[in-house]
Amino acid sequence: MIRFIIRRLLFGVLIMLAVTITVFFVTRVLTDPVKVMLPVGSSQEAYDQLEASLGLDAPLGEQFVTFIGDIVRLDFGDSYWQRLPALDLVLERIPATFQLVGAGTVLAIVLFVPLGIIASLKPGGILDRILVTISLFGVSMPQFWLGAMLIFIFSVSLGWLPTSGSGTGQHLVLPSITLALASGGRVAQITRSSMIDQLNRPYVTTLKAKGMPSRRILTHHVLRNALVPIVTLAAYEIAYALAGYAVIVETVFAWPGIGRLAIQAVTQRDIILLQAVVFVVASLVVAVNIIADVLYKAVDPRVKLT
Amino acid sequence: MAIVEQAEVGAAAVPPPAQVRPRRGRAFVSVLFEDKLSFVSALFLLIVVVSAVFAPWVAPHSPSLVELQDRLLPPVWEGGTWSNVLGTDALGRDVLSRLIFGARNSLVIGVSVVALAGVFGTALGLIAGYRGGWVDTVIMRLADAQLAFPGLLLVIIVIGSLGPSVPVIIVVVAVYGWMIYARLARGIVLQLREELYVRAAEMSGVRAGRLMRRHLLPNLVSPLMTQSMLELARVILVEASLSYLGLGIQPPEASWGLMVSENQTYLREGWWTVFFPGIVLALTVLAVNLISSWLRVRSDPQQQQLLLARRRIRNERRTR
Repeated sequence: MIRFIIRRLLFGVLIMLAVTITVFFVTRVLTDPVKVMLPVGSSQEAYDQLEASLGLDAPLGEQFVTFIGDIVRLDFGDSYWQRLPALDLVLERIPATFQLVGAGTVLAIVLFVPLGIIASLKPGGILDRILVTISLFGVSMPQFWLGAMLIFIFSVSLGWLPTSGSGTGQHLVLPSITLALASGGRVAQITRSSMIDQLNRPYVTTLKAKGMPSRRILTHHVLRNALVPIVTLAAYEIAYALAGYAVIVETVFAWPGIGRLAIQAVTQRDIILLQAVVFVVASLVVAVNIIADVLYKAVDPRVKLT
Repeated sequence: MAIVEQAEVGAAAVPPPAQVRPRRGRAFVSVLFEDKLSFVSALFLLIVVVSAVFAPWVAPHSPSLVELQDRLLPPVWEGGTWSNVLGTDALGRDVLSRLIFGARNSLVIGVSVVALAGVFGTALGLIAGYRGGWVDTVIMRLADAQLAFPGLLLVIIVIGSLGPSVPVIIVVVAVYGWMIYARLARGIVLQLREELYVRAAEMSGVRAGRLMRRHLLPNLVSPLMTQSMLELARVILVEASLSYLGLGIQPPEASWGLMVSENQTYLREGWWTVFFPGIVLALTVLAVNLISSWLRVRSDPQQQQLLLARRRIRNERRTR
């Protein structure tokens, strides 16, 4: 178990290294960060000054060594626009993103696992076909549009909920529903196929033959086994939300999380802030992956972690 | 489904023939028609593709023609005019025309990304699976690492740094999509490598390149088709999301994602400016997804048997 976690940690470090090197390469080799950060029409003096202050006048190899050193010391430098330590700026945004992704994931599971179960009980039936089509539609819907439509219905027309921003529980409702509906289709699909798979196993027939009530077979045996792939999917969805979907949903609802900070860093061309954002998100994703593997083992004792 | 069932009620008195194979072209269409949902999807997609290809002739107005005196005109059934069937946006541009030109961008980027990632991914997967050894390890580790980190944030950052333009978007999104084809191709090649005919070809001295092209690749066509359709759906959504975030198609060009972000602040005054681009996008992606799952069922003999059996049971129930 411990060996497994160590191995996964090593793989995680590898991934983070790959991600940060990609960002280093893209921001320093493929583009000129100084030109990118300075306003258009700045003087050569301003250019040299900024280049020197960022340490970008050094040879690329040397820059890379300092860059890796900074990462190890968790010191990314100050954000170019906000004049504050970049890492602090990112960490400050974590609670908001966690709230959003957490609420979204819980909603997706609470709403769509039961739907998947209902669909699986009569595969090919009317209910099943309707649910499958609806979940396919859910997967096909762009989150930004879903969010905008929810704003139109519940905020603009009915006036029940705030259009955007954060602060109260009411602000969290629409963003988390948007996140949940978009991933819910996949949750329902996986639940359905996992349930169907389990329902066709011989042990179900045995239990039936022994006279166990079908409700009990379902809750005590089938559901427990069917849960395993759902745990994996949930972790997958969290990783996806952290490293992508949150950016979109947070933009739609002006939710002050990491995703919006990332977009801000991209549009302001704040490379230092950008590197900090990527580093933090990459570590979160790696952590989620490892936790998911350990959970996987907890749900299914047959799994051997190697 | 309903049409199919009705047709079968008449024929069901006679036991269904074991297997009838009509001529190929017609068979394809009739098989497609059997599944009503897939047929409607294919039809919808055809309309989108045709209007995208012939956009300048199909669109009633120029997509970037700003007419501020006509801003936020409602669709025709809400009191608008036939000149702007789906209304106009916040700058007085015709929504329908922008939808049609937006389809162009979506499809061009979608198809290019799938083609680029598909060709490179499949080639790398073929090589990894056939060569094995360290080549395999390097390629597949790279794929694993990329799959472990979901790419949208990186794609956003890379495109944001390089500056959004259509070629940049295509290349960057393709770099984040090759892994799935590589895995698929490698998996199949690993199975095929032990097949007798592959061995025979090897022994008779066929060179590796030709062997991969002539003997292995044809086996990959059908699964790759299904996968490509799934990826097309995903990539169209990615393009729309990038454009929504301001990192895709740039104004004054039209893109479905861009249309939503441009008009989101005018939701109260003109819901149609946001509703139509999103619904067309969602329906297009849904159509592609449905066709993909239809392709999967069609190309899987086991599923095919299941469908046939199910239909036969249904027929028997009806005649009883």
